[in-house]
Amino acid sequence: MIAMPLHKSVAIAAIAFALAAAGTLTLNDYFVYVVTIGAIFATLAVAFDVLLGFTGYLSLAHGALYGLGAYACALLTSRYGLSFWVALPLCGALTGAAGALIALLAFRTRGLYFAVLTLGIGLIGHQLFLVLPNLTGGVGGFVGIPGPEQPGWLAVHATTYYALLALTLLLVTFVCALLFVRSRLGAECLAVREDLTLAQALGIRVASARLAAFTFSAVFAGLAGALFASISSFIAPESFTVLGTGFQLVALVVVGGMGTLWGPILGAALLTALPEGLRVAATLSLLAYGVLLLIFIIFAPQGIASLISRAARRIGGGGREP
Amino acid sequence: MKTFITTLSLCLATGLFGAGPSIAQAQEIAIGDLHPITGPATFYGLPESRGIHLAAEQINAAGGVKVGATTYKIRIVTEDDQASPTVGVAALRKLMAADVRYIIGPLASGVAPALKPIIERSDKVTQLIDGSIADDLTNGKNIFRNQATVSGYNIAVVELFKARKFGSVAVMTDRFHAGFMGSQSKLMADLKGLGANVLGEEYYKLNDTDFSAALTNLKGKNPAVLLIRGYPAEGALITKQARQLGFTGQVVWEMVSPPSTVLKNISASEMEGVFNCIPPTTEDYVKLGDAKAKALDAAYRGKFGEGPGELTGLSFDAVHILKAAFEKAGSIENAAVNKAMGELKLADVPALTTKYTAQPDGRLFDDKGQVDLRGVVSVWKGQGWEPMTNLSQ
Amino acid sequence: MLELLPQQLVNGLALGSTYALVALGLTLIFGVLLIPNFAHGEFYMLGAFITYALVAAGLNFWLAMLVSVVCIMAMGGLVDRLVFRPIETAPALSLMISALAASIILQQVATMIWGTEPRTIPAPLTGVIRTPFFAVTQLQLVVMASVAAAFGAVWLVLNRSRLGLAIRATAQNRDAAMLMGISMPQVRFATFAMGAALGAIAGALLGATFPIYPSMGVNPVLKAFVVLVLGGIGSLWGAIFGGLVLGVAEVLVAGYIASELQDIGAFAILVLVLLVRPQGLFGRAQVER
Repeated sequence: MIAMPLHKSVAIAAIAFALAAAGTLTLNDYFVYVVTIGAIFATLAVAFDVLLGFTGYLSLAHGALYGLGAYACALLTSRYGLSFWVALPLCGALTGAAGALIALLAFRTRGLYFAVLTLGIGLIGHQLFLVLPNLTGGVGGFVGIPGPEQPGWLAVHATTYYALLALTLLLVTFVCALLFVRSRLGAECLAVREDLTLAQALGIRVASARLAAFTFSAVFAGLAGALFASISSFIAPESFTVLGTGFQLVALVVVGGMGTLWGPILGAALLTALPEGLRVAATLSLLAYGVLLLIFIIFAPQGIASLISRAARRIGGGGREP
Repeated sequence: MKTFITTLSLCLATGLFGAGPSIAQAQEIAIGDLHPITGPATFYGLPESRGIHLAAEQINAAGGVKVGATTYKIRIVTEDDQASPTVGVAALRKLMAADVRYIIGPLASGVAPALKPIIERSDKVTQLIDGSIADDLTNGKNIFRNQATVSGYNIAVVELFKARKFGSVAVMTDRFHAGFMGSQSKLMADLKGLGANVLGEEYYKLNDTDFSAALTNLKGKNPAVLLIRGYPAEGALITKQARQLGFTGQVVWEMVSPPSTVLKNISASEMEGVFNCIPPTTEDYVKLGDAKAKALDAAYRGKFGEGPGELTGLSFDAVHILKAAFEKAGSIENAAVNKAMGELKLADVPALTTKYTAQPDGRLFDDKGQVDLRGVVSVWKGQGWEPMTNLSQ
Repeated sequence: MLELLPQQLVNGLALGSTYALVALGLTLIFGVLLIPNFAHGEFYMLGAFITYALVAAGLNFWLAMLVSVVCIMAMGGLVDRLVFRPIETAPALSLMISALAASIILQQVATMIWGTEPRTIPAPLTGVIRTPFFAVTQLQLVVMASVAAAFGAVWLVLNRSRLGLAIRATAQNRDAAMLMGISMPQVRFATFAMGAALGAIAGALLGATFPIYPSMGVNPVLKAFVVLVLGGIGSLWGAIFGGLVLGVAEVLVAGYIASELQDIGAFAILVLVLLVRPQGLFGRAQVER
């Protein structure tokens, strides 16, 4: 991986954001919606990569954390009348706290045991959305969630505004993630990923490093969920399943490239656009999706990011390993 | 890498192609067909989509839709919702971006409420729901439904209990079904009002395979009736497991359950005497000798090589309802068509294969945009359901 | 309520043995090759569908099951060759994604052949055995017996044959096993074939009890991962015990607390077990690999 100076990475991210935002203004509602959903999933994927890519722990509870953020936002805005902008940080704080609690429990285990333990927690979370109809609306879903208030000076269509919000959240998440992984905690996380025992032996604060990574990813998953709820106006437990969202997140990060932060954004863009592009295949679209996913992973088992890095190195003057 | 680039450019190409301004063909009305045509719900979704295509084809062949002096052909634009809310919203937006202003669907009770806020906000789209039965989905302004509501299904259950004077009931409900869950408390109150003692309400979920724990409890209370609300695969399994555990009372289903599907999961002898409380299906109308249902059945078989699905008739009818509304409105503008939909008389749509009950003033839809379609009680005899004429024996 | 306890326990054991039957094949492949084979659910599904098709064509159930097992064994080898071998050295998560892709493909192929309408294989045995305390179907007894038989057969292969020795060596240390001249393709093929065969047996037997449809394998394979971890990775005995524990726990929660909480209860127990014993009930303290 080419380690770029921080300000350069942020600048590139900001330029990419500006281009995407400008592009959004020219698209029709449908493409704007696809961009919005893509950006929300990219936010989730970046947050998830901080945990998976930098500590090596696979959490399947993040679909439920995303849902927790969504339901919390729905309740706070529609039942307690809070403004979206007040509710948003509260949702982040709530999922962060829930994430920290889950982390404290789950880090007793590792490897597949950790994955399955968080799978269990994710499944419990999804079931709770179903069996607490007074809070969540149960299987019928939560209807009538108010959208984020639009400032008067921003004279764009509501769907475009939502897309801009989603892209902004993605940018903020990406920059925060960059700061996190470049910090001392981030370095400690990497040590945890590479060799847990050695890291412990070296006196690295393993527990606090991985707890911080889990909490970080939970906070931003919650923010993504809150934004999703607010712009969708309706949410149902189906959107927060382990099989759907939980595994989908893993796929985004792995297909994009683990531990790169920008790879997962490409993964999210690709895996959101692909099913939409495959609509032309009608009844064969799912089959085509499966085949393409398999081809991707076989030709790029380390993700798209590693392909691009390798290609960039080859073009940029050969063999200079960072 | 090469494959990756090829695929990516392929996706981009399709994306760009789709983004281009859709060249509206003159004299055409585009109707969106929004149903699950991939994923686990295709068993219901595909026959609905086909019913829509069949109706459009027949209408076009018969000269099309006459709006004022102009004759339009119907063009069906199919989009897949995979019975998932997010995929469904994307599909709806795609249809709306392509300036498709009339939409038939969706099937899933999980998708319909996700579409509702978008459709309600738009004055450029009219929706006719032909699948989902959950309550409170229509608004009578631009969202209508020609499918029954769960409350419509429940009428038949109540009628059955009234006629048979069952003393007690135990219920198994699919808790993944928004419609059945939403109407459960009302139905229980109605049954209690009729003097039936509700001994237990248990829940399962779609694709569950083991109901023994709940059934053991219910059987222990010895109810006169076991009422099952959900889908036929689980219905068959629950019926079997209840009998294996020694339940001997009356089994009542409340579910869309084609006999062919039922018989793939349970033997005819185990089904003998089971009641079902839903609106009649195309298959029922064919059995009753209805000419329009027979014609639909024959045309469907001719085109697709198999019998129509349980909901095909509703989707087929939906196209005819829209056609009648266009002709009555004398316009294909949404505002005029919405108004015409609200005013449509049952008699204005002679092509309907489903037997609706007209509103007191003869209209098809009530003020909320809902048709009156009531469940009837059928009983399983031999190889399939038979509509019951006399409930008390 | 207490008078129903014997019946509920029988219910739980019957359910648990179906979990164990599915988990056995998964645990074998994961234990030996460290591949999180989500496509195991599709081995199970196709095992059921092939048996169904043959029975519908007039073949005897047990013969149909045998043919189906052979077909699925070949398919297991093929899936390994096409899906996992090309990225043998990739991280386990890439293997997981390719497994998920394989599941999607196999489900869609099944959808194209059979559609999504649920159906059940005509059961070879339909009798119910009634005692004063509980009732149990003959088919449930067959499932329980086949769990024991499958366990016995796998144990015999692993512990009483040269191939089994090679498989166990691979499971302990792949590199060392290769240095000892063990043929890795052979071990892989044998492991996948055995795992797939176990999946097909589960599919045929459970397909005679439960409805079959293309996505039927998704939930059982999730449960099987839970069972695998509950019992302890790589422990066959753990897979069976874990399955039974999960089955009984689910039934007791559904029977004595509330049927809506069946899933929550089961997973809460999983979480509790892992908090007390992070290596599962029968796992050895885990070595990072």
